[in-house]
Amino acid sequence: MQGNKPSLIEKEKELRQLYKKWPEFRKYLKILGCPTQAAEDIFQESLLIYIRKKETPDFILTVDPFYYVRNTGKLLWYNQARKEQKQATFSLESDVEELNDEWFQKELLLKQMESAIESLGKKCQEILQLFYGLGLNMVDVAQKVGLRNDKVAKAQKYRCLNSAKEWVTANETAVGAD
Amino acid sequence: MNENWTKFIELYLQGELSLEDTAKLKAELDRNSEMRHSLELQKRIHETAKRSGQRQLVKSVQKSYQLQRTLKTSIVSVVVATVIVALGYLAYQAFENKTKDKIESSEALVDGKYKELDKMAELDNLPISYFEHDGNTATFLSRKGILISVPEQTFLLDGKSYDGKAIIQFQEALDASDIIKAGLSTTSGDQLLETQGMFQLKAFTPDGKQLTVNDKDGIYLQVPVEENKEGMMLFNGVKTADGQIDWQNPKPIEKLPIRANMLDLDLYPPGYEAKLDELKWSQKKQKRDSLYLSFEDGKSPLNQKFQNSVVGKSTEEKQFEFRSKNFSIYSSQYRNYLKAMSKPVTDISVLFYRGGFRTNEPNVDIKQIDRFNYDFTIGYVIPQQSEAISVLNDSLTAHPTISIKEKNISKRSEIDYLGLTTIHNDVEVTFQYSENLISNGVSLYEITYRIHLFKAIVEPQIIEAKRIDPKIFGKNKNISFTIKSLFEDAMDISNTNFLPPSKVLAIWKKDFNKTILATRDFEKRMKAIHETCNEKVFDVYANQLNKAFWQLDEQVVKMGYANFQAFADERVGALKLDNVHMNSIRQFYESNVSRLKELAKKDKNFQKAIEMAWDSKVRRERNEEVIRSAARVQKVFQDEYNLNLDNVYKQLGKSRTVGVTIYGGGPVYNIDKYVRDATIARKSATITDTETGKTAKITYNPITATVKNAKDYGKLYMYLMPEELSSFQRIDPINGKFDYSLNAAINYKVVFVGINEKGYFISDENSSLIELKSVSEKEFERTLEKISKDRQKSSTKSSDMSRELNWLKLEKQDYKEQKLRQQNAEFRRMMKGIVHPCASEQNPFQ
Repeated sequence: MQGNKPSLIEKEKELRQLYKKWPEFRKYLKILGCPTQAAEDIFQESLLIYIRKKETPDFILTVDPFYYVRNTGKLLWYNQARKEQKQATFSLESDVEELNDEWFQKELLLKQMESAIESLGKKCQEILQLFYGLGLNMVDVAQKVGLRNDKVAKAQKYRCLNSAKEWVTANETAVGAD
Repeated sequence: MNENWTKFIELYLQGELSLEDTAKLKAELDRNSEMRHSLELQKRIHETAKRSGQRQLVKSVQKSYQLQRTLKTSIVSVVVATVIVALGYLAYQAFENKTKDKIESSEALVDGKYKELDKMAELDNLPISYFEHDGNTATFLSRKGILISVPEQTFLLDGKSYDGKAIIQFQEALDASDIIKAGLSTTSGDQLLETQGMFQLKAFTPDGKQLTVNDKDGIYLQVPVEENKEGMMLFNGVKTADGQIDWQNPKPIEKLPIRANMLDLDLYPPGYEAKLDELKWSQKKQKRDSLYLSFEDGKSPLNQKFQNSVVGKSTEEKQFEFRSKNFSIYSSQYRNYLKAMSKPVTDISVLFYRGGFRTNEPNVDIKQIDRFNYDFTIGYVIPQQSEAISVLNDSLTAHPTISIKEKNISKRSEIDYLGLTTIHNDVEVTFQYSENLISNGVSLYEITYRIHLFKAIVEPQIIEAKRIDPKIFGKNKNISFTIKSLFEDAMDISNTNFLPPSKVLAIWKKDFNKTILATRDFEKRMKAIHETCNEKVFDVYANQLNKAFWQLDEQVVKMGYANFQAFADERVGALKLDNVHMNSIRQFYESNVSRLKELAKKDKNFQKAIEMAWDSKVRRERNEEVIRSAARVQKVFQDEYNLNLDNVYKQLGKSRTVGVTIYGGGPVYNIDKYVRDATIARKSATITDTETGKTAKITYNPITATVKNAKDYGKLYMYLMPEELSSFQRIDPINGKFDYSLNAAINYKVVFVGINEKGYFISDENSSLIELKSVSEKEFERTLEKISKDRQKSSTKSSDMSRELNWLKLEKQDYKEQKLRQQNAEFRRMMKGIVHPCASEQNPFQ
């Protein structure tokens, strides 16, 4: 599968298909020592990584999408377990390599940075998520969040960005790469 | 953090900075490491925000998955109660023809635009349709024909009003195969249901958030079914533990009336507009309304045919008295009648032409008096007098009058006034009159004849006459008349089966726009209401604006109109008005009806008054013409007689004296008598003076002329313009043929004249077959005046012709007037059948 930028609808559709595999994923992670609650979060993260990975240029998926998600889940569990110093079963050296993959690390960093967005008010989160996440234009964003017009929404966006930057700056050690 | 930097960097990263500013920024970035740091940070924030947004997508899928899992193992509502609150259910067989509401196509989303929402659909194996609702009131039509009406501000997002774009997800199962495919059951508990369709409806924001429906207005659905079935209800589908659907919470359903602008509705009787269109009548609604209103009086005119008479009897007899009055005797044009009908002039005969009855006599009771608008003359031929007496004080008011002026006569007569029809100004009056003259208890004569009145034209025909020895009565004797109002019952010929136009027009106003009357449903019912011809049926709807249609329909069914059951079965509901609005509407309606009735009456009376004024004028002119003609005829005769006499004396070589005796082989006659007889007879005669042996001749040459297409002309005359006489002579044809004898001693100019509603026709041909040519009024006048002037021997000639011309012009105008009235009467007869379909054309007296 060629790396490309699928539409929102396609993404959603694929996600629905993948979500049907949740029991299998949960079972797999359970074997690796991951509790169900943690497995749910990891599953969500794995799917997120998967759809983001698909958007990267030159990405070619050579395996079944669920295999990729499951593998990503495994890595995430490994990473989490390592952090929590829990016992985890490392299957192969390749897993370690994958953990250290630059892109994967960047994703982990971005995950941490999401706290910056979560720290913002609901409106800011919505503005930034709609604009950057779903690719809506400012007119639509203004309508969705209930602002008068796009100009007002833009001004709000600048403020939200500034707040997020401030948060990150203030919490730089927290979001630094581990 | 420098906010300005954030803005500039943002503009730069979005490509919205100008080239100049971009260059400046780049220069600053090169120089300023802090700014570079800010730029990098902002880029990461972008990526983070993107990731956060994508996470929301994953979360929504997760939620949906979790919900599905929950629904599979617990109770589920297929028809989501919080989404759909107000629903309509109805047999809808003619949706495409009836409604004019905007319907958006259900094919809007063939490109699978919202397929990511498919997973939210509840019914397996059934196609899913999506409709885009932009926040304004809209109506959609599903693939299987379910009408979905979504008002604005219908949806709630997280409990708050949502007026953004909504994606409506819809599934339907209307036939058995769909129901089975979807695995839907038709049971309610342990009861088996008969279903006419199942559906599921959900709504989402474009980003997939589920919406609920606000229960103020709800969403309205209209499901097409093959037949209306009584007792159909709306059930909620609830999933049981074993995954089956159980139908619960049945609710009765009503269909909402289809609202429309009152002025867009057609409330006329069926066929009314089509007929007017066919006749190319004015398209203006005001004029069509006005015409419709003119049929306010639904009473049917009886007796459209001139030949029919109306005979009826009532039980009531009234008496009233006339005092005999002086009356005058004068020549009447009814001399011919006298001759035709009477034998010896000792008869007393009574003639009518036009007439009326006085109704201010308390003892006279004639109903429908305002419908009489004619007058008539009673004429008597007095025994031993050769002149007819014609008197009447005619009255041209709405109350016809009869009064009799009499001189040297008193009589008692019994008038049986039989049968009267009429009504309106434009129909005929027919009655049968019988008179029995009684004097001192002795019946003098009895005569019955039938009178047909058609406007100003009367052709009384005596149908039966029984001669009784006449007597002359003295002066100032009381005369007693018995008038039997012989058709009191029958006079109530009013046809109660009609719907007054005033009522329909009173509600046909935008003031009724928010009522059940301003709906397509009412428009549909109006056609059936017209056909009932019963204003009480109309009142059921007009007087109960707050009730549901189906309730009103059922009331009408109980009144005996079973065809309204089909309307009742549709279960169309109500449009509620608040009390204040209700009361004001009520008052408006009632005042409007009265106003319109008054208007209709005024118009009718005004029309009547105009026509009566014209008829009166024509009548007066005709009366004068009769007198003038008689005088002219007499004069011209005298002129001709004198001419002949002079001629004869000249030929005999004698001078005109009185008492010359001529022996002509017969009885001894005065020469004047010979000449008079010859002049009267218009026959050639030879008079011989036996003493001298001289003869004198009076020569008359017969002429005949036939006018082509004589029937086309209402009036046809041959005018003789004799040079030697003081005036012209006017000869009447018989069946279009003129037979006359011209005096050889006179120089005539002959002109043939015809008149009809189209104009004037003239010819001065010397031929036995005359073809009249159409001429303008001016040319007509000019021709006749010129001929008359050329022939002028006396100044009276041209004034005679001038008066003759005026009279001819009036007659021509009257032809036109009568023609128009006739056309109008025919038009109204035709429209009457459409406006009042139940009005009977049958003569109840026959």
